[in-house]
Amino acid sequence: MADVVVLGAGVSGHTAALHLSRLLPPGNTVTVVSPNSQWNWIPSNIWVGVGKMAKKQVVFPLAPVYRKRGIRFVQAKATAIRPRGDETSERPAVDVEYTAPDKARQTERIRYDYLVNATGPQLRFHATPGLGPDGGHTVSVCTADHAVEAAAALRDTIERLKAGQSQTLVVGMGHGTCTCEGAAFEYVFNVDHELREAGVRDRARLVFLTNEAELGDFGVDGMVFEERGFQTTSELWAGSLFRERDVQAILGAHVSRVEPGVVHYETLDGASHTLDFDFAMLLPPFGGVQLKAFDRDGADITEHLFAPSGFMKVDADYTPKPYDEWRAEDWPKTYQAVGYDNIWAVGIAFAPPHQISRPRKSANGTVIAPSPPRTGMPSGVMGKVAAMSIADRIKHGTSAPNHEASMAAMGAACVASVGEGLRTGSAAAMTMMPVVPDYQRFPTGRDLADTRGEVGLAGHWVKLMLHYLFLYKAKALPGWQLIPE
Amino acid sequence: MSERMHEQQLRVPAGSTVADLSKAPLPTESTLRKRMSLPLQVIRFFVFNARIMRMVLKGHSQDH
Ligand SMILES: Cc1cc2nc3c(=O)[nH]c(=O)nc-3n(C[C@H](O)[C@H](O)[C@H](O)COP(=O)(O)OP(=O)(O)OC[C@H]3O[C@@H](n4cnc5c(N)ncnc54)[C@H](O)[C@@H]3O)c2cc1C
Repeated sequence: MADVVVLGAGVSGHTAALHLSRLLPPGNTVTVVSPNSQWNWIPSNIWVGVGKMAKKQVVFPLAPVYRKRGIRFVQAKATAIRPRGDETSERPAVDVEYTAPDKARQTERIRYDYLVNATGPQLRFHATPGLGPDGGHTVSVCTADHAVEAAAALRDTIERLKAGQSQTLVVGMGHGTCTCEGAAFEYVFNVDHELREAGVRDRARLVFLTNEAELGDFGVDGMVFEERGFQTTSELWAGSLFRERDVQAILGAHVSRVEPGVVHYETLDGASHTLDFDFAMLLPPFGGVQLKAFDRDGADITEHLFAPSGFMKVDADYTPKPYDEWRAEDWPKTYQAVGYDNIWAVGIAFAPPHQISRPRKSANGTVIAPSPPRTGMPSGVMGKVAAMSIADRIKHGTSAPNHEASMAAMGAACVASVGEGLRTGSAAAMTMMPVVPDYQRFPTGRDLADTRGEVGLAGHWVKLMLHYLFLYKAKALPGWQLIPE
Repeated sequence: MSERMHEQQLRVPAGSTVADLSKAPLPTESTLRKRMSLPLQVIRFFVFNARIMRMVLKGHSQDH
């Protein structure tokens, strides 16, 4: 009989926990440790952030779902991993600190036989002085609560526009090493849509401020599409949308500081600039959640398990190499932690071997290059794969082979809504196969049959369908396991 | 120069680092109409979902 502990109840951890509850024979236990009592379908935070959806439409309480699935839910944050146990027991353990109001600050050491680290990103607003909603001067849509604040700020801006004032709205990335450009792309076009609906677009200057050197990079080095007998690029495709909607783009930018109403940024040529704003939604850079690791004797072994970024090291090739030598094989397949065959790190929590986009530095040496995104679909698949590997080991012994899902062989869909409404909505819908380009297999890095971009109403329906489908699946309602990750 | 481009250039402050998108292809009226045409978009909806399902089948299980 084994005890499985999952850290994190986001896309990857929740998926892993649900599958474990389905795959494990009775007698084994699944425990989920997560600081929030609610599950959040993060992609729909974009709609909350423009006031088109209420917070309650994108979150639901986890406890009843876990009760139904026989999963123990510990509302706490993990603080340390003890992969070889401690002075009292050889059984591995995680230290947690409760966040539930009735037990706040209490601690517990939870023993495990198998551990899944799915703690997602730490939102590093502090990397840029003045960034973010907590003590900074910009809003965010990373959490449902942030998105509610963003919607209120946007509403105020629209009121000022209606009163006849001109306003500058800036949307984008709050640091040179940010990831998740797709989310900012989506938000800027939703803001554009709102401004048009309110009849005030002509008084608003809308600026997309990004660390991407080219539009359409999306942190995946851009894409090549085949269209009407020609190869075209995601750069031209995205550029077309920006031009059509009159959204200005500032590229290759590292935001160094935000003051009230002013963004300071550096561009790839090394020059410093400022941009005045009335409304700014800038995403933070992501790091790993700061977990510590200790050996039996209490020695700090954090750097054995985690990269300096705070992400957990897994079965990737972390040898530093130049861009030209990056290969699909560098990317992890099993997500098993380095040195421990009973720990997995999935979703945003694993340390990628390198970026996907071409690395770039400004003339001053500042890194201005998107970090690799780990979007919903791959994160869910990794969670499922870890659950299947653990279930096999429990059922067939520790020599059972691991299941595999490399991002260099897996596709992803990115549906960026660019407007809302069943008849008036639209979305820029992209699919890429694989996420990490493989130039050894495909001349353009990706399979042209499955790598596509299109704009239209259908994309909006897809986005809406995914919203309802994933909420249904996450609630573990009948047939949930048939809905792909 | 189209009116829209002219407007955009008016609003970009001098010395700004805003990217020049004047070479990006502008969709024609017919393309814009197709993007919102109900019958056509119903077809695109099914095509897009079929593509996602194909990717799921190809990539989600890579076990040997
Ligand atoms: C605004 C926005 C829009 C997005 N839109 C899309 C989209 O359209 N399509 C798409 O595919 N992807 C999208 N993404 C990306 C997607 O949300 C992520 O890929 C996905 O959430 C990653 O899953 P995860 O499980 O790794 O992390 P998360 O979903 O962030 O989950 C992490 C979990 O760990 C918990 N946790 C944190 N610290 C601890 C701790 N110390 N101990 C225990 N638990 C902890 C958190 O509370 C959370 O439950 C978007 C992201 C953002 C920010």
